[in-house]
Amino acid sequence: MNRKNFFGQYQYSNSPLHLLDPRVKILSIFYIIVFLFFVKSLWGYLILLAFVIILVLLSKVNFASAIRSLKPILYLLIFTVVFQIFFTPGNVVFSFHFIKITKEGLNLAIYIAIRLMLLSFFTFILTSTTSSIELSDGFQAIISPLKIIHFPSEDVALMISISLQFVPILFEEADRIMKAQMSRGADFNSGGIVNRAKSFLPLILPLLLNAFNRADQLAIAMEARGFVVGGKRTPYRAMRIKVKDCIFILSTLAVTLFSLFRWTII
Amino acid sequence: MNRTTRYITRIGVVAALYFVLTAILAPISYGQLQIRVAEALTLLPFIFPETVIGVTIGCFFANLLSPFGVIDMIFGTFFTFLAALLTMFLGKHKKSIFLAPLPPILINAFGVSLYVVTLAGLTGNGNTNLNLSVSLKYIFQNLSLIPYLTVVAWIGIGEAIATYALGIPLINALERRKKLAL
Repeated sequence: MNRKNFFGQYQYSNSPLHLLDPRVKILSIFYIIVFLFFVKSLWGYLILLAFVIILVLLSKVNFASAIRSLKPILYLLIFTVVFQIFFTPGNVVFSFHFIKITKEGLNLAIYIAIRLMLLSFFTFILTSTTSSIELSDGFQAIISPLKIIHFPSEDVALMISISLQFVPILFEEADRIMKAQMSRGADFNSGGIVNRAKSFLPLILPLLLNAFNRADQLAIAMEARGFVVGGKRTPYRAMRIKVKDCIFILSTLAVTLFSLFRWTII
Repeated sequence: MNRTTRYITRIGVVAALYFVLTAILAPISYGQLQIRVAEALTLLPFIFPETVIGVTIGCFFANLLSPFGVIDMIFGTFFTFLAALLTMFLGKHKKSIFLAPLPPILINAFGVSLYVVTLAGLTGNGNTNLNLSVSLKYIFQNLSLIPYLTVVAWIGIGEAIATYALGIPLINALERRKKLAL
């Protein structure tokens, strides 16, 4: 269990990507990922792949860790490629008994493999260059305009910051309870899958009960300090859009527009 | 004590707990089958209605770590919210606890596989214009239901183990304590 990495892949550095405004980063990455579904040419995907590689290099994060971020989708990737190659109808380029490989199948396999990889890489860029505090500030800022439709965005923002504050506390507590239960003979790693799922009850139950107690204490403490639900609050860290944020937005737009053109080279 | 302050803090800790259980405990895996232990928490709205929002926020942040990232954060979170809401209604109408895991199992299995299949292009329609409606049409018109149903079974079984084997004992234990102190 690595304590520093509870938001997954965050890697500290002073790169230009780390210093971007979190709102800009979140919205740009969301935009690119939605955009991925509108790219129709291999050329477009290659441009985006080049863009993501430039971003990884700019962000100074460990390149190998970017590749490792693909590990969870490895099986899906293999399954997809095999499925596309063998089961897509079209012009047969290779056949051996019942196995037929078509041109369309090969094309599709490449397309989809690149798209899945891009999806994973862009999310990796976001989570590896943005700390948990910045992420939560960013999301809070993004949902704040929803106030207009009477969405309780201030309350939700508060819930997000409370939960963020509790993540390291609960993590430590989970670790402690796990060790305590193991010293009493609890076994989290053996037996069939159902028994293993069941074995987590002695961990989750005390964790949940303690968490609820802490939540109630926090509520009392907050009210004792004059907290009012729905009252106006001001942030400690103010976020400002700077020149580099504009540059990032413009380059994202340029790359996405560029990849839309139907180039006749390929 | 004001009820809503307590609700806000409880929602906060439930979200944190969901995130911690997803991020820190490696999923129990059994070959290809992966189980998210945190999914046991989706039964909490059955006895604590306010935790619907907590589970949703927790799922949103936990999905940051998912390989599908942003797509999971939007659709996966929405499905979790929907399932939690239905579980809450089952609890409000005093239905049997054994019905409570059904919304998370069914909604996640059928819903999440929809976009997994679409993203992976497993619809077998041979076009790269992977538009959700086009894929859906193909799934139901052609006999490409097999990959879809495989993913449904795959996700459904994992979810069923997390909720039935861990979630229900958890809710039962909490309910006994709820009468005493909570």
